[in-house]
Amino acid sequence: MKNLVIIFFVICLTACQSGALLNSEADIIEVTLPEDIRQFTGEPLITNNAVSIPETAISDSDREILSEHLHSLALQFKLTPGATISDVDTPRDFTIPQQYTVVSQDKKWTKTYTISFFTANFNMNYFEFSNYELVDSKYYQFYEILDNIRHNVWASGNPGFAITAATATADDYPTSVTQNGKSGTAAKLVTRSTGAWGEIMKMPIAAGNLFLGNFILANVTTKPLEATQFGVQTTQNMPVKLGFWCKYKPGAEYKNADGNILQQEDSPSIYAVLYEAATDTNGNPVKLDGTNVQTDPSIVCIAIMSDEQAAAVKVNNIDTDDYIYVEVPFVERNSFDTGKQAAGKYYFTIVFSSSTHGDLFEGAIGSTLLIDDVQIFSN
Amino acid sequence: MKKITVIILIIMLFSVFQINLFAQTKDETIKDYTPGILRSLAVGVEYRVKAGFLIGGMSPIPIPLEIQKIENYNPLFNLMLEGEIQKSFNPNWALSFGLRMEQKGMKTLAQVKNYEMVLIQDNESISGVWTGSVQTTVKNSYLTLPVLVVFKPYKRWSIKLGPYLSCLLDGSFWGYASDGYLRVGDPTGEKIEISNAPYDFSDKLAHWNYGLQLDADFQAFPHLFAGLNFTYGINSIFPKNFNTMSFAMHPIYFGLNFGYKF
Repeated sequence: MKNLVIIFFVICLTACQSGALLNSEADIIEVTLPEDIRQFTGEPLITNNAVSIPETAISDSDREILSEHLHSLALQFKLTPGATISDVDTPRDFTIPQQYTVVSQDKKWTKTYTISFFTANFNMNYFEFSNYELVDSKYYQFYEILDNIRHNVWASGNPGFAITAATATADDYPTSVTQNGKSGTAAKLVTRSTGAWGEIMKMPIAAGNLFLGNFILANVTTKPLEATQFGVQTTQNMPVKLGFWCKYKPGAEYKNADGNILQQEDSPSIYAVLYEAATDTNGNPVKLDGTNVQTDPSIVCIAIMSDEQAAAVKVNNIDTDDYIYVEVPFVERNSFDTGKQAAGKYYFTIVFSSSTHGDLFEGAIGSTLLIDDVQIFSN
Repeated sequence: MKKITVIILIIMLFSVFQINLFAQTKDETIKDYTPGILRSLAVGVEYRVKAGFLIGGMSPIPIPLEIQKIENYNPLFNLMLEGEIQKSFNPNWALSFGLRMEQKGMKTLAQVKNYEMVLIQDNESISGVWTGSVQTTVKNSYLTLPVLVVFKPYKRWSIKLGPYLSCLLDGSFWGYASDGYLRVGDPTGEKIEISNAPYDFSDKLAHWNYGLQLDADFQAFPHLFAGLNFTYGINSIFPKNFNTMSFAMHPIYFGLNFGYKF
C-alpha cells in the first residue's frame, strides 16, 4: 500500500503537460559571411539587437573588392532553434545599415536587429572625450569621429551595471561624463556599489572603466574577465609614449569581493598595449581580454602607469583641484614588424579604471578618476 | 514560533509514549477503559492519537511546461503527530476534528525554461525569464486543524474527507538558480549567463494554508490502527502578491501513520 502511494505521488509530480514548450527567444546566434569576403572581415560582434561586422581589409585594392561585395550581399544566419528571419535570401546593400526582424518559434516575440559593417582600422592618436551619447536613456558611451566616420571604439562595463541598477541616472553609472574637463568634457570613472544584486553575485563593486575594444554583456557574471575584449585594429607606427591629463580621489573604504574592509588605499589603473592578434580557426582575429592583456606573449609593447605616478595624481578635491599631466613610456616586449603593421595584424588598446583591482571586484566605492586629452606619441 | 513548535511536539510525543506504556501493561478487555473514556464511548465520542510521516512536495498544478524536467527529488523526513476526536452519529457516519503538528518539506532540482520571475532586493528589482537549473529546499512546519466527515463502509475501515486549515509555525524556502541564463525583461531582452545565484524566500511564505484532506484508516487491532492520508493545498504557499514566481505552489502530501484509539 505504501508503495502504491509513492508511485501515485511520483506520477503526479512528473505529470508534466505533454508536448514541448516552443522557444520564445528570437536571437541571431551566428552570422556567416560569403567565403569570398571572409578574408577582408573580422568576427561579427553580435549584441542583443545589433550585429557589427568589422572590415579588416587594409589595402585599397582589398577595400575595393569588399566594397563591391557589400553593395549586394546575402548573409546566412544561425538563429534560436525554430526562429525565423525576414527576407534573408534577397541580397541587400550593406554599405548602409540594414534591418532584419527575427520571429521566435512560438511566434509571440519579435526582435529587430540592425546589421552594419564598420571600418575596423582605427588610427587616431589624440582623444579628448568630447563625443558621447546616451544609450537607451540609461548611460553614457564615448565614441570618436575620424575623417567623418564614426567609430564606436570606446567600451565600458556600463551595460552590465544597467542590469542591476534600474533606477540609476546616467551620472550614477561607473563610467560617465564630466563637463569639468581639462579641455571641454572629460571621462569620469567612479567605482560604484552594485547593490544587493552585486552582493549576491559576489560582485559588490563596479569600477569605472573605459577602454578601446568591446564589452560582452552575456559574460559579465560567469566570465567577467573575458567580458572586456581589448583592442582595435591599428596600422599606426609603433607607439613610444602615452601622455594624458588626469586626477584621482580614492574612496574611503577599501573592500575585497567578500565585503571585508582592507587597510589599504585604492589607486587608479591606466595602461596601453599594442599586440599582434592571433587568429581563430575561422581566420578571425582574437582579442586579448582581462585574463591576459598585460601578460600575453603576443604583446609588442606596453605602457603601464607606475605606482609612483598613480600616487602623484591623487588630489584632495576632485572637483576643484587641477588636472595633472602624466607621461608613460612604452616598453618593447617583441620587435615591431612593419609587415604585420601594414597587414593590419596589430591591435591597440588604452585602458582606464578607477580601481586597480576592480577586475577582481576589489576597491573603494567612490574612488574617482577623471581623464582627459590622451595622446599617443609614435615613432 | 520555533519554541511553540517544539513544545507542541513534546506534548504530543509524551502522550503517545504514555499510551504505549498503558497498552503494554493492560489486557485488551473492558478494564483498560477509564470511566471517562467509557462515558465518551457511550455518547459516540472516541479519542485517537497518531504519528507518522509525510512525503510530497510544493508544486504548481498542473506542472507547467516551463518546468521541463525534475532531475532530483528528495522528500526529506517529514513527521506528523495528531490528536483526533471523533463523534459517531450512526455505525456508518461520524465527524472528526483533529489538531496536527506536521512538517512539509522537500528538496528538488528542476530544469526550467522561460521561467518568469521578478526578483526584488532592497529597492532594486530585476524581472525576466530564467532558463537553467533551479534547486529548491522547503522545510515548513504547520499546526493544522482538519474537520472531516467520516464514512465507515466496513467495521475496520473508515474513509474521511474534509477541509483543513494550516497555520505556518516555522518555514524556510531557499535554494539557488544555476547553470543558465536570465533574459532581462522578456525573452527578447539582454541575455546574462549566471553560474550560481542563491535566493531565500523564507520570510515571504504565506502564514495560512487551506485545502482538502482524504484519509483512510484501517483498524488492525481493537486499539491500534494504520492510516493513509492525502492533503492538497488549495492556496499557494506564497501569498497572492508574491510575484517572484509566476505559479501557485500547492503543497501536496501523502502520509502514512499509525495510531492508538482509546
